[in-house]
Parts: sequence; C-alpha cells; structure tokens
Amino acid sequence: MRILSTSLIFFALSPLCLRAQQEASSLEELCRKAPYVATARLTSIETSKTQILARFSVGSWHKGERKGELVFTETTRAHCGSALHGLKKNQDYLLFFETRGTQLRILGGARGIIVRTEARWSAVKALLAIREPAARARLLAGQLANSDARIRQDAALALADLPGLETSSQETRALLLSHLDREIQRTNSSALCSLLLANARVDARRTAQRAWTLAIDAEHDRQSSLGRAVLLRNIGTQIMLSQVPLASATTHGSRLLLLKALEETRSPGAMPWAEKLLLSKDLILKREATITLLALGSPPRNLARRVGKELVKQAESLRAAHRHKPRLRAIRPR
Amino acid sequence: MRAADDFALVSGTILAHEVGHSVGLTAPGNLPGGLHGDASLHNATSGIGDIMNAVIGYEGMLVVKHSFRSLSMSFLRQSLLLK
Repeated sequence: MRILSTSLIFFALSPLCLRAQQEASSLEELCRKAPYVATARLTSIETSKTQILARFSVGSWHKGERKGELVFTETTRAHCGSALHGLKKNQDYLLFFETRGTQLRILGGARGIIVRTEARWSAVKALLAIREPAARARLLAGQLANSDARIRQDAALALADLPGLETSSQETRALLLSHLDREIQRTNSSALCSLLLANARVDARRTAQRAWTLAIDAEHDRQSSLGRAVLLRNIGTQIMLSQVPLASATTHGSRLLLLKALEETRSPGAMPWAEKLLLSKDLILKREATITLLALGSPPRNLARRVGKELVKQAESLRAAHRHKPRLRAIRPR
Repeated sequence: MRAADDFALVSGTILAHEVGHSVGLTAPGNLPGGLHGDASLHNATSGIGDIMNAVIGYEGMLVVKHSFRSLSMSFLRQSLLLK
C-alpha cells in the first residue's frame, strides 16, 4: 500500500515539476519559446464568478502573427500560472502566448504578460533579434546592470542555464564576475544564486573563491548554505579544495563553517585543511576538527595520539548523535 | 541516486509552495489587508530562499534552502493553529 501511494504521489507531482521547468519564465526563455510575442492594449476585462475574460487590441507583432483581437480567459480564482489578475484597462502590455486548440494561452502565467516600458521593450527586442549563443550571453550580461528589476533578475536566471555560456567572451566573463561581486555585497539578493551558478560554468576557480566567502559567512545562514552547496555541487571537490580560505576564516563561527564544508566533501583531500584546525587552542574547534577528520576517514587511534583519547571519544559520540541523521527525502529500495 | 534526491527536494519545494497558496498565501497588497503579495499571489518583493517567490529555478531549489519567510510563517501559524 505504501509503495502504491508513494508511486501515486510521484506520478501526480511529475507533471507539476516538468511543467514548472518547461514554462520557466525569464524574458530570455519566453522570447525563445513563445510562438507569439506582441505589444497589445487591454481594451476590456470582465470578471464573473467563475471566469475572467480579457480582450487585447494588438499594437504590433514582434513574433508570429494572428488576425483580430486577442481574447484570453481563465478561472477567477488566482493560482500559480494565472495571468489575468491585476491587469489595468488601457495599459499596454508585452504578451508572450501560444495557442492551445482554439484557445490562446499566456506562457508562464503572470510572468508572460508584462507592462510594456521602453526598457522592457528594448530588452525583449534584443533577445528576439540575437540568437548566437556568445552574443546572447553578452547581451544578458549587459542586462544584469539594468535599472528594471525584472530585466536584471531575469537575465541572471537565464544565464544560469543558458546554452553555450561556456563559449562566451572574456568581456562577458568579466561582467558576470563583477555582477556576482556586487550581488554578494547585497545580503538578500534573489539574483545571487543564479549568478553563482552562471559563473561556476565559466570560471570555476574564481567562483570557488566567492562561494567560499559566502560559505564561511557565519552571520548569514542562508548565504552560507548557498555557498557550500555551490562549492559541493557545481564547482567540484578538486577546485574547491584548492581555494580553501583558511586565512580569511578568522572567527570561531567561520572556522566551524569551513570544517562543515570540508566534511561534506567526503574527500580525503580535505584532511590536510582539517588537520590545520586541529592545532587550534579553541577546544570546540579542536573537537569539531576531530569530528570532521573522523568523518573523512582518519583512524581514531591516530587522532587520539594528537588530541587525546578523551576528545576523540567525545567527538565520536557527538558524531553518532548529531551527524548523518536519516533525512526524509527520496525513498530508497532496500 | 542524486537525481532521485534532487527530484524529491524539488517536488517537496513545489508542493510546499502550492500548499501555501491553498491556505491563503500570499494575499495581494500591503498590510493589514494583504501580505505584500502581487496579483498572482506570490511575494512581490522576495529575497533569497523564499518559498512563495514567483520564480525559482530547478537548480536554485537544489542549492538554496527554501522556507516560508517570517511574515508568511506568522500568517500560517495564526490561520492554521490559532483560528
């Protein structure tokens, strides 16, 4: 019964996740995937108990073309993927849409219908015109500096998985890195994650330095886990370990975070760094370094000779109690 | 197995996001009538790791720990536990 219910949940969620991915809604992806792109004015919007009906008069077509006014409908209840809520009559919008049977459908929900401004139109026009990967990467890197948050954040989102980003020019790479540095200074930037991922693709070594800075930031927990995750998932152990910022980790908290990242590499190559922290006079740090070394495969007997039996015993019991707790994630067959 | 773990994490994050909608997140407009949501019921001004953000990439869900922000959590506690 459990297997059956697990399978049902899995298959029920699959289309949801796939749809979320297929309809990724940055301006770059909308320009690429939408069969129709137009500037249109909202001429009327009618809301009944069950349905919203919006009529648009097209000012100009930017991709594809249809005759007559554009009519969109959707249910009244707002939800993920709803597009027609909060629209204003007589406002000009940029519409990204497709046909489904006889119906028109906005792509990416509310993300596919945006108030038209000169800046947004310029951004969309350029994205529609430039297809070559390296030039597109350069264009998006330039959009990272746009004063419009939608353009800026969408450019970062698109760059993270832009095909062919690895072939981008030195100038583009330099832009990406400088924007990453700027976002690191902002403590709660939604573009930070995307920029780290984009930079990891084109310059893993320099990105590793930035990701380490975040990873040992003891004052911002979320940034710290982001930095650690990027190091472990997107940079790779070898480059990550070549950039360990031992000299920059000057506080107790940052050194503990550094040890945590080293432990998560599960690589014997991380041992020399953890051993350096084993020499600390800070007893807690010494104990954590012992735990890390045990996790990395260092024999307890060797450690006992260096830090004493008592500390190794403590480290082993703490490790058993607090580390490697089973997590409720994917269900593995036994 | 990493792909399965990733898929599980992403599924869980999307599920939490959709459950958030079904219990009232995020009401459009400013307080006290709204919860700073936009017209599509997502957080209009969202920072890193906010589960009610309108745009979260697949890879982003894997490398950032997502959770409900404080205001959303307060709303959930009040509407689900206290009322």
